[in-house]
Amino acid sequence: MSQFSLYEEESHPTPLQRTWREFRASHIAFVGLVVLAVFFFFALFAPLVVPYDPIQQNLNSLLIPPSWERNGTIDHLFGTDALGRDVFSRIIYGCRVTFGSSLLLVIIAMGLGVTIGTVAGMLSGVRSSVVNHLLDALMAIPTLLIAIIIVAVVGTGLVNSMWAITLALTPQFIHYTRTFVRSEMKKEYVLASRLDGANAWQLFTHSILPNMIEMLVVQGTLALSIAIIDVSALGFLNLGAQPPLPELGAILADGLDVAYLAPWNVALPGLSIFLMVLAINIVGDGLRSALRKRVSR
Amino acid sequence: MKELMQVKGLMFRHSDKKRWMKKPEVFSLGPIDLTVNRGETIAIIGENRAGKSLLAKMLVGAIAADEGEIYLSNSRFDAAKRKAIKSYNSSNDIRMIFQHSSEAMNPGITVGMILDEPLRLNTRLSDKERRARIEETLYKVGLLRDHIYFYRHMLSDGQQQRVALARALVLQPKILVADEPFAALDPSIRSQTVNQLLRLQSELGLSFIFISHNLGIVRHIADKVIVMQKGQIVESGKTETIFRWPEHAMTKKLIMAYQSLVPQQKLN
Repeated sequence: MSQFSLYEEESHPTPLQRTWREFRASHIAFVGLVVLAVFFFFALFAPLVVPYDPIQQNLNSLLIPPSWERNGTIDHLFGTDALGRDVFSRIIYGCRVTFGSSLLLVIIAMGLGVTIGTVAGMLSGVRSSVVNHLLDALMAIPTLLIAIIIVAVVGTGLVNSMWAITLALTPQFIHYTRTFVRSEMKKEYVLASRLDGANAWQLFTHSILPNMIEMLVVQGTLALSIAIIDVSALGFLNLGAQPPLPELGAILADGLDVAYLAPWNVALPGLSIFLMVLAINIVGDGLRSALRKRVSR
Repeated sequence: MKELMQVKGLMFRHSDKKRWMKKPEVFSLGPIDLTVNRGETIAIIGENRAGKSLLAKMLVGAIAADEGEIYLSNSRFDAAKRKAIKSYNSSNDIRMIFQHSSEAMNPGITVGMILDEPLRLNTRLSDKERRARIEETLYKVGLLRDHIYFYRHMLSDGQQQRVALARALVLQPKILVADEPFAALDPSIRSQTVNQLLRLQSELGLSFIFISHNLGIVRHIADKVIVMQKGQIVESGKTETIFRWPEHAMTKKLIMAYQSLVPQQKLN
């Protein structure tokens, strides 16, 4: 072997740095990240960004077109709606409500689903398969439908609709986690860890979780875009967020009344929902390929 | 030569109670009696489904046996205990190297973390001492300090095999059990690994039990050979004796198959 002492490399990139490097290499994913960051910024700092109060009605400026129209003003960047509220402010607050609540509920659903799924995956026999097949049946029904049913039972409102969507999203996480953990438990390196005396928790954190992150990212972004669409759909159907609350779906429903007169009231909130979901999917995709490349080259 | 490990009447029965839809498949292993001396190399050969891997797994405690006793460095263990894994292995005197495959190494964590795990779980060393031990072990198997930060996909097959070896050695065992350690390696890497093992064995005084289909390697490095068929040991003895004067039909078949590839040697 080497008789001379080699200098150690000064720094080794951490897994996070590696992932970032791979992620940055894809320009589309990076643009998606920038768009998503803008939405995230809006969600966090909405009160600092908005020029007007989003629920402040102003009868002197009804249905002013966006600023790029001939008779629009720069005072109202995206124009105003039928009650004279500033559309730009409403959309920013709408991003806060829709994006923020979706993010929150996906985190809750993921935590819940991964916990139950891992327990189910590590158990064996009847208990495990009961958990699995009970929830498999639920997965056949679209989440929006389950959410509508739950909302119908517990009543309308943003918080109720959030709970409904959380409960509707959880089975997916349980299912994927369980399948993943089960396949992982059969592998030799898990057996090796177990021979070293690792208990279930150590096995999970040390051997299974590092490999599960890719799956979690994929399912998490998928669930996030589903959650955004569901939250705004429930708002649009008047089952979720109630009208004065600026929620993108509710804003869309409000604007629908005057769609022929003032199309920007429908187009702009719709566009922002679309952009949000697109950005999330692009970032999720980029993140997944970055994570995959990290462990394959 | 000092006795390091003694196996008495190790038995395993395949239980078919739960599979009522399937045709019962009767497989039983043993009784197996085995003695391992310090610094000795034992090879287990035999056809597929002879129970070689099962025996290896029972020896390290990955699968509990149904009956039998194992004496390991003068303390007695009841191999039949169902939850034997932890208590049996807590002495860290016997370690296993798994067959080289894509699943033998965790792709999500670094080599350093892979080697750290057995130390963290089984010793009371501090972070610094563990790190020193890991570096020392990597050096021993012919890798560098920098490999601590490497992931599986950055290593070649031979290096992965070395990491598997390092994982077994890091707890400083007395016996290594290996299930076809050379099967998936190409000839040059294989001979590298074999030489590595022989060097380590002479340096550390390890005993080495391995399963192999490659009789050339068996003849090269084994002191003793055990021939298995259908869960039974049909013949065992010194390597040269077995290779020159095989007695059991199974052994003869295996040796003949090997000899036909090496034309200059004749059976007596």
